[in-house]
Amino acid sequence: MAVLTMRDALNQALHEEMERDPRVIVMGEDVAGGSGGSSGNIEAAGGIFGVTKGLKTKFGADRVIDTPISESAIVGLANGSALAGMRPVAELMFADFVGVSLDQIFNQMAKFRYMFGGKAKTPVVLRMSMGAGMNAAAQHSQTIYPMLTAVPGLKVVVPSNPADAKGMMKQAIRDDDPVIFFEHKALYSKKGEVPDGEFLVPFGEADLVREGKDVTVVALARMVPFAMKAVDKLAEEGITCDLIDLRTTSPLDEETVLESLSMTGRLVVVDESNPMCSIASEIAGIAASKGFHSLRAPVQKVTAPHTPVPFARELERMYVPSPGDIEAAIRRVMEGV
Amino acid sequence: MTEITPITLPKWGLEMSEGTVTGWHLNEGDKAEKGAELVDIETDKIVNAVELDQGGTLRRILVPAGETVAVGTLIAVMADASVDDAAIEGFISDYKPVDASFDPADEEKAEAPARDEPAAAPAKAVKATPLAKRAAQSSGVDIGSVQGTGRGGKVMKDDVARASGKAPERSPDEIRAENASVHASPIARKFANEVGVGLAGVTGTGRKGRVSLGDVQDAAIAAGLWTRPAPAARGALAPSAGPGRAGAEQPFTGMRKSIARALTHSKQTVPHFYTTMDIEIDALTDLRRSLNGAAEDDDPKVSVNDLLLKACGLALMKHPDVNVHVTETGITPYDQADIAMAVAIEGGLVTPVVRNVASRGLRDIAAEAKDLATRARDRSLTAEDLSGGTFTLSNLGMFGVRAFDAIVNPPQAAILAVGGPRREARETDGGVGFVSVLSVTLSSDHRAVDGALAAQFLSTLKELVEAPLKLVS
Amino acid sequence: MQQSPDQIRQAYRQMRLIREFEERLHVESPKGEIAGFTHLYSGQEAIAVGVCENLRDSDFIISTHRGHGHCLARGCDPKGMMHEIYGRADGLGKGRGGSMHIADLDKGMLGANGIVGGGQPIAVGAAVACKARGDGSVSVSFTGDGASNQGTVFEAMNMAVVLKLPKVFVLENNGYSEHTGASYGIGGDLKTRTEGFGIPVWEADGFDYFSVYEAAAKAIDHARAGKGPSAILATATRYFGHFEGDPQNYRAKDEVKTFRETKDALMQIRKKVTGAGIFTEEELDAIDDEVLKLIDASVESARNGPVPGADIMMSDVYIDY
Repeated sequence: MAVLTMRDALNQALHEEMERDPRVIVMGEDVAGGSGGSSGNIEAAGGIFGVTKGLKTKFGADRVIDTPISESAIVGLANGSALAGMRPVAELMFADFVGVSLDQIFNQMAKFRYMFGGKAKTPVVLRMSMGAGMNAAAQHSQTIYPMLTAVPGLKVVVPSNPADAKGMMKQAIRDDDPVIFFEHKALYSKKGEVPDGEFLVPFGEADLVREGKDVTVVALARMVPFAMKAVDKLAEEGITCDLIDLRTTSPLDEETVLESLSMTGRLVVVDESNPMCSIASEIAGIAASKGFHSLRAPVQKVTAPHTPVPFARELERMYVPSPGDIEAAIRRVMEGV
Repeated sequence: MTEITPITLPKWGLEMSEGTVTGWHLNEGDKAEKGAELVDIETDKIVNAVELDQGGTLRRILVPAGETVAVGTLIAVMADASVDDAAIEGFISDYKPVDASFDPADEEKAEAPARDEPAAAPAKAVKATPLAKRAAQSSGVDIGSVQGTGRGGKVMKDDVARASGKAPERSPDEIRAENASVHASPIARKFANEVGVGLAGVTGTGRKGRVSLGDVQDAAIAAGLWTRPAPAARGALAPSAGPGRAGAEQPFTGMRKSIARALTHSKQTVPHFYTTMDIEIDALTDLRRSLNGAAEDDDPKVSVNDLLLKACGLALMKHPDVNVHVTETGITPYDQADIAMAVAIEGGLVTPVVRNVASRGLRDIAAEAKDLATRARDRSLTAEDLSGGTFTLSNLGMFGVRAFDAIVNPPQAAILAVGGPRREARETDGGVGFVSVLSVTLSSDHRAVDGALAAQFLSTLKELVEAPLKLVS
Repeated sequence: MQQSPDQIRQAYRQMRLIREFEERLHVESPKGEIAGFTHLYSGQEAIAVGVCENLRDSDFIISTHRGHGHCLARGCDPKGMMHEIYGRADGLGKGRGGSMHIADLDKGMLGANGIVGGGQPIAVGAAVACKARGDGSVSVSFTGDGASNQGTVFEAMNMAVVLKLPKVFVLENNGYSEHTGASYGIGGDLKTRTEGFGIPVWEADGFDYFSVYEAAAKAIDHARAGKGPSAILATATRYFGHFEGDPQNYRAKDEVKTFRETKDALMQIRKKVTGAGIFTEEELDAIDDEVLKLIDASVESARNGPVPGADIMMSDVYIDY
């Protein structure tokens, strides 16, 4: 087991899968970078976040495709090549650019199999960085996984650590459904132990990161390490929590949430997205409709406010739910108000 | 130069929050020019050298090679040799690094905006709308002291405005905001916002007092804010009717023009009323079958419509007050039933007249009706064929129509609209049986025909159809 | 095309202002005080200024992620911009937008834009308004070589032609779409593509203010006269990376140096203006000094500007909610 950053864990998964299966191809803006540049370096970038580095050198320009800045056509490239038998991994650089290519995502890839009589397979992995935390402002910081989770036909992956990132990337590439793979940009440099070689994380199975008896805390992506801080701090005072890392929002592991809730009776949901129609509201809704008799206190949602992501450091720190916000929510739910 | 220049761990790009000092190119006390390489820094993506953006002497190295520190950390100090050590130490101890970290503070944010969380119930709950609370806050009104006029005494925004001594503001934005909290249909609210009606003052007639569009329109008219637009004439429809149009507007043909003129005039000036009767027709169809079964080859086949023509003729003779012409000035009775029958042809309809229906035989009627219908489709009817009917029969039964209301064809006083047959269950002795039923609707000109007369006419018709032997006698 | 000495002085000052603004940000950026993405315009000054010097107050421009130059050329307040880049409460965007989202509607500046190709359709909309007003106003969009491969740009061009709008497309080829060479990413060439829509294209040397000014004058006159959209294709280079911190591995080491020494826009305008005897070196140096003082003051003021609070974060999501 090696200690890797999430960036390198994802990179490793891509290398391994491209080696294993010649149908796997990678495409996007600057996934290699440097073509047409004056330095002659045809792998000048390796992805703007370095996730695809080394791939073009190893697998060549036919399998690692630098594209013009044309998001709609990038996703189209993935869709068409998938229908025609390839297993594309396309990169959108920033999740916000889904806005430019939304038709290809939610009218096209999500629906092929359903519309085409169950014959089509669309094994696309659409990777994108997401999240606030780097002051990239309103058009480069959004966590739009709730939007895409709402679309039938798409699987949605939101890893919180390097090991899951690797295992889920490998699973995503092998999955025959389209998978939207959200990589939180503030997690790329976070390190963790990553199993060597073959390692798959199934979709729809949440991870119980901490076990406790008082409160169920549900989190995802960057909110998981934040929740861990809060949960560990409260454990010293004797308040113990189940901390559930959802890992995928579609499929969504309701069972793990409800089972934990049936034992704790208290629920805190942490989600970096805006509060309306968020994963937090979805989990709170599930608790209300399927776990009502377990609830001993109102569900606490810890989310970003209903605003775009602000630029200034001070504002963005205020925007992102913090470990302190999570701790306060756990205390509130313990008081039953 | 007495200036002290801090060297901090640089931020190279969006992602960089920390870096490792991997090696110093200069030692303390070395002098260097602008552009000289000072130190190598490694991030998890790249290794790069920091170049001096101005010349000077490296006085202190604060982070040795091998250490990892956050972006903005003071890693070295440059100053001219003339700056004394105490000043350098003072600068270092006073230095406040930039906080370029990405993570929010671990504490709950003191200044944090309201998160999405259930509000703790206040000790003494004041029922007020969110807008009212906001208004109270901004105008400094104690919302607990405001008399609420909303449901259950809920404090509304206007209540706050009254309490603050201000008349409720009526700017469009204010009205919008106020309207947002009134129980109203979306279209009613939209209309109210557009014309500037405050919904708080409108009484809702919908379910649970919901304000409907009609309620707002009435209020808007009462307030002089709006007048009901005159209904646009059909022909005046804007040409920009948009998608759905299958072509340019076609001028009326002569036939359509005369239909349009006659029926518009009738519908607008003749006081119509409608009476509908269900008639069982099993006996009638039995009769028709036996008539046609007994017919010679060249005898015309008798249709249900022919039988109905005859029945109408006889009914008109029994109720001569229906067999009239009505004009502005009075009513003219006729002594024979000349019945117009509506025939659909390409581009419109015509109503040729079968004369003296009551006294003629069924086969005779059938032959003439057939001839008229054929000539109608050939467009070879004469003016005489079309003039002078005293009553009209319009039958859409063959199209599966259940029942419909026809427009009286002036100067006639009535028109009978016939729907299609249907099977209906009827209670019979000891059980349920099925019968074939037609619905017929008589449209009458109330100036000549009253309800009772219409009803009597239909009863007669019903008797004749349900016991049809009189039709052949 | 005759320009008065006053106009030329103004143009030179604007170009110098952009240059010093950006060079200073390049120095300040690594210090860590400036957060997020910063995309600098150094090297392309002649394009923004050559175009904007032809505009009236009633015209509109829309910019890209590399927007500082367009903003300054359009007359946005350098201090307000600097405060925004430093995330201050009194910046042009109240600290909520940052470098990539500077806008000033009062100046007809419809914003820098974080979405590549996002601005062009918006500028077509502004052109509809110009046409409706009927006052001869035009709407100008700046589009990089990278953005010119976005479907939105093709849609915008076609729509502007179909609706015969007073719309001017400024195509700025700086040689790189992020980390990839423009020559790799563009199929065909930008001029032929644009002409394919029936839009006349005036080409210019993007390092030469006078060349851009003339091309822009013709293109803008065409649009003002109600003859439909027009385009300017100007080629230059950017002196810095795609964003600050970009290691630029795709670029030859001496590429920028060569451009700076042989083509530099400020160098060229100085040479032409002093050579023609319009201004002396000293007169231009005085402008440079004034600009540098203004930049110093702006940075100093921005570094000490007010930090935005929760009230700023929570307001202006809607006009009314």
